[in-house]
This record gives sequence, structure tokens and C-alpha cells, in this order.
Amino acid sequence: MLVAELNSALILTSGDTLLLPASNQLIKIPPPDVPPNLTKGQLQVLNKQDRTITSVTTSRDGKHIAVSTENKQIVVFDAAFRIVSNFIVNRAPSKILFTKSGDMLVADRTGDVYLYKREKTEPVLLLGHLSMILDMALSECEKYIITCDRDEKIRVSRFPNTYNIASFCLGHDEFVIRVVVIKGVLVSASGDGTVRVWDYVKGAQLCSIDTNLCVKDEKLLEEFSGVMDREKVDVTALPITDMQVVCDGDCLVVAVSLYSCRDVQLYRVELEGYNWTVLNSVEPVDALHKFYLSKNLYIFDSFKVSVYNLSNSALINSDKQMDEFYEKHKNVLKISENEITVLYKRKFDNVQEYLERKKLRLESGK
Amino acid sequence: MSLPQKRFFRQRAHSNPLADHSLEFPSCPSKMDWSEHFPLFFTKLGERFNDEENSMKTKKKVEFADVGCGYGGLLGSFCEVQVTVPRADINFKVGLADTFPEVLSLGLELRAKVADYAHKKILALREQNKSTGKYQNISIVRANAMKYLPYFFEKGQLKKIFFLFPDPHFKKSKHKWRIISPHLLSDYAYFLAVGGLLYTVTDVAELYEWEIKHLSEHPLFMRISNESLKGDATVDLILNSSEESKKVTRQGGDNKMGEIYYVSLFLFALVVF
Ligand SMILES: C[S@@+](CC[C@H](N)C(=O)[O-])C[C@H]1O[C@@H](n2cnc3c(N)ncnc32)[C@H](O)[C@@H]1O
Repeated sequence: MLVAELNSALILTSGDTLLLPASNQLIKIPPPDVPPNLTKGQLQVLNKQDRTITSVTTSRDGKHIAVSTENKQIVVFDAAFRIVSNFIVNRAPSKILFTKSGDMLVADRTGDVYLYKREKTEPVLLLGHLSMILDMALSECEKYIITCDRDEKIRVSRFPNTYNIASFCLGHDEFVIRVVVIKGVLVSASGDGTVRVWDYVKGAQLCSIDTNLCVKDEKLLEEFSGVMDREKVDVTALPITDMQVVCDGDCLVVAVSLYSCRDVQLYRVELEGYNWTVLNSVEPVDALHKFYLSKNLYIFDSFKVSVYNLSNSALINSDKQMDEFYEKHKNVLKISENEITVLYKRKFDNVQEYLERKKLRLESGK
Repeated sequence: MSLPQKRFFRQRAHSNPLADHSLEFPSCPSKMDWSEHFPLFFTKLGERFNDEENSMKTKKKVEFADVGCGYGGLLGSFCEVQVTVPRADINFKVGLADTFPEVLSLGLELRAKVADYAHKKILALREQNKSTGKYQNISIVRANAMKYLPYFFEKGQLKKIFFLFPDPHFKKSKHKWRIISPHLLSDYAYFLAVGGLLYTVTDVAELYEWEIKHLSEHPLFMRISNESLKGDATVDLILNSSEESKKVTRQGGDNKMGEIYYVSLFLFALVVF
């Protein structure tokens, strides 16, 4: 399940469907417009494939919304949800973004980022990581594009001249799953359980929040590291599964969810001095599906949508239309299994073994 | 200390550079404890030299990087190499350690056993030359240069970066394993100082074409003329000092020998936009 917002209306996605509470509508992603010269076999493959939505994004001017799907499709809608374009890209996209001028950035699972211009020319390959790109952001001025990957890396490149790297923001000890640019700083979240704030042009860390400090139940980490241990992965923290950031006056409000934790943690980071404080933690009634942070905090659990006021975390009387809609379509909103565990590296190394064998050989003098 | 014997350090020719190796690396360049590599030039991380002469040394940084250094021949060798292209204008020496005694050079090698051998070799060289203090300016780390250079080097830190006889990876599906590619060139440009040099040499025609293509097309690299290579002591070194270059020479090595064509050197210039 994903959540986006277009002109203050929430849009939910689940599987291959867009759910629009405001207009009480469901929209299934149609098959792609295919080039005329495809063979029957190719067509069959295309149509059989899974159209689960992998990423959703809205344009800044509020005129467009786009989704990417598992079967390498990108569908752009206008604000009235009429299809503007529906095309196929070369590799499965993991994240899409609009630029100010309405072009589209597409990051894929192999680690490449392409720019699809509005005038339908060949896409331009902008940059490449050697591992899966997990998130991508454009700076507010659009002079920088920020990408993070399954390694511990955040790369800051000039945009559109991406061959010119401005910095690397290094310090995370695990995969980086979210990057958000807001108020001139970069906020990142990682499998190492930390949220970090960066001066992204310099690649300098401004502050780091260890979200695991707020986890009261120690058993959660024990359990998780037990599971990962069997897969030969060392984990020392519960990974962050989602992070969203909004600006509140001269502060940032950061919301995070952690693997196997029920609550959504809220932090406040001062933009001057980068001191941070724990704002609150909000616990849903039932298992957390998803949260969405904008003017309010929306929490989607398996029963209902709860809306909280950000500053005092008080429950706001939620809107009736949304409640009814959610109640009606709850069954559609399956949680996508959050396969965060695959992002960890299975470390293989025969060095230890080699050193021991060598020692033996040297001793025996052969 | 006796010299390490290569036969204990043989390893499969190729290691997948895209795989998840468990390698040790610092969390960022400023967290790297260089004193373990260059004890004469660095104090332990966080400590300071207290006398003036030594405090100058801490300002040093690694300036040359030999990527995929193999057994480390370019950095320094045990024996005088046979000079295959004797040139009167150059006083030929055996490696970066000798030729650039003031510069810190670091080799990066992915294969554990090979890196281990090169490391032991450097320690033995230091031991043998204790009286002169030679070989204190070269070292090696086991690292996947395709992924982890940003953890070792800062922006603009390197003056020279070497790619000597990189693995050719002939199959199309393995082209992404090649150490020179459009994306990685952007990384290398980031670590090089303006005016820094990228040296690459190969005896594989196909790889040569590939490298020339991508280096020429990259907006931040500019080819420099063979003319301006005259007098560059590193040219003789890259043609003669590394293990692979010696092997190529032994095997006849027409491709490499004498043909400056196979030595592509590129001058890096920052594009202003
Ligand atoms: C053919 S050898 C050449 C060695 C040396 N430069 C010479 O001229 O003798 C290529 C070396 O690059 C190393 N290598 C390949 N990919 C690498 C990577 N991503 N990072 C570091 N070393 C790498 C290989 O392990 C191998 O030792």
C-alpha cells in the first residue's frame, strides 16, 4: 500500500489499483499501450504480468499523478484521473519523480536513473549505482539529484549534469531506504535504525537520530536478529521501514516506522543548530499498515484510518467519507509484505578460512 | 622477516566485483585510520603529533591510487626490473615508492589472497630497508574499488589514479564488471584533483577500444597528447613495473611494447557550467 496526495486529496494504492476516497472511486491500472510491432508472444508476456504499483508520485503544480508498476509500466494521469500517457520502460522502476518542467525521472532496480523527456525522445541515462536504488529525491532548486542504494551510500549529483558528483553522504551502516530534501537539508533513513540530517552539497552530517532508543520492547530486536542470524546476517538495530518529513515553522517533523514495531515515532529537528527531540509516538489500534504525514498524521491500520494532530498528537475526528470508504475497501488494501530482510547483505567471505589453511601450509612447510 | 612466497597466495583469476563481500572499510574518509598503513606519516586516529616536525606530516594525504593493484608491482618491487624501453632522459626506478618518495600511494585490490601477499611484501620491503626508511610511502587495502572508493578518498584528493591491465570481462553480460565505465568515471573524476591524471594500460584491443570510447565521451576527461607524456616518469613505470606488464613483456607483448597507442593517458579538467 502506498499513499500520495494530489491537491489535498489522499490517493491510496493497493496492488494494481488506485483508490480515491475523495471521489469514492477505484481505478485499475490498464494494460500498457504497446508498440504496434510486438509479436503475439511478447504481447502475451506483457499482459500476463503483474501490474502491482511500485511507486507513485505527483507533480508540484498538482496537475499530474504518475505510477510505475511491477511490469515496467508508467502511467501518467491528469488531476481528473484521465490517462495522459501509458508507456513501457526497459527495466522495473523502483522510484519515479516529476521534474518541475514535467519530465520524469525513473530509477530502476539495477541501479540506473533515466530521464524521460516530455517530448517523447529516447530516454537519457543520467547515472548508475552498482546496487539497487531504493529512493531518489530532487533538491528544491533542482540543481541536485540525490540517490540512495542498497549499499550504505547516498550520492549527490548535479542535475541535469549528473556526471558531476557534488558529494557522497556517508555514515549509515546499512542500506539507505529514504531520502527527502526539505528546507535546504537532506534527511535520510536507513536499515541501521538511524535518521540523519545532512548538508548534502558538502556531504556533511548535521545530526543523527537513533530511533531504536525509543523502542521499549527489547524482545523485538532479539527476535529480528534471531531470524537474521539464521540467514547469516548480523543486525544490531531494527531497520526503519518508512520515513516521512514535513516542515513545521523553523523545525522539521520526522515520522518513522520500524520493522515489527506497532507505533509511529515522531521527532522534531530544529533547523537552527539541528537539535532534535522526541515529539511523540502514536500507536494504532491494530497492526500498522502504513502512515502518511502531511498537515496531519494519518495512520492506516487493518481497521481504520486515524488522523492525528501533529503538534499535540491528539486524535482528530476523522472525516466520515474517508472512514466509510476505507471500511468498504479494506479488503482491497492488503498489506504488501514488507520484504526489508532481502535488503541486508548475506556476507560471504572465505578469508578467515583461507588464512587458517595458509597457516597450516606454512607450518607444514610445503 | 623473510619475503613472502607467491605460491602461497594464488587465487582464482576473477572475483565478482558486484557481489556482497564482507570487507572492512571506514564509515567515511575522515574515520579512516591511516596510521595503520603509513605509521611514519600518521598518528592514530584522533591523536596528534606533539612535535612540530611530525605535525607537518599529518597534513599528508594519499595522492596516488593504484586500482586493482594485484601483487603491487607498481607500488614497489623486490628486484630491479628489466627496463624494456631504455630511455636516456629518465632515471628509471622500480616503483612509485622510489620514483615519488614524497607521495603516499595506495593500492586497492579485491582478491583477498592477492591483497594479503602485496601487504606482506610491502612490510618485508620496509623491514629490508629499515636503514633508509624506504617503502614507508606505499600501502595497500583490500577493497572493492567499484563500490567503496568514497569511503577512502575525499573529493579532489587524488593526483593520479592507475588502472593497469584491468580485467577485460569479454562477455557482454559482464561489461558491467568493467572497472572503467561511464558511471564509474564520474566517481573517479570526483576523487581526482583538477588537472589530475588517469592512467590506463591494457594489451587487450577490445578493452582498449571500450576505454577510449568512454573516456573520450566523458565530459570531465580530456585526452592528453603523447607529446606531453615525454618526461613523465610514470609512463615507464606503468609499462614495466607491474606483474601483469612483466608477464605481457615475457610473452612477447607486441601489443603493449613500444606502442604508446595502448597507453591511454587522460588529463582531467573540470568542466565549468
Ligand atoms: C589483471 S590484474 C592486474 C593487476 C596489476 N594492476 C598488474 O598490472 O599487474 C587485475 C586486478 O584487478 C583486481 N580487481 C578487479 N576488480 C576489482 C575491484 N572492483 N576492486 C579492486 N580490485 C579489483 C583483480 O583482483 C586483479 O588482481
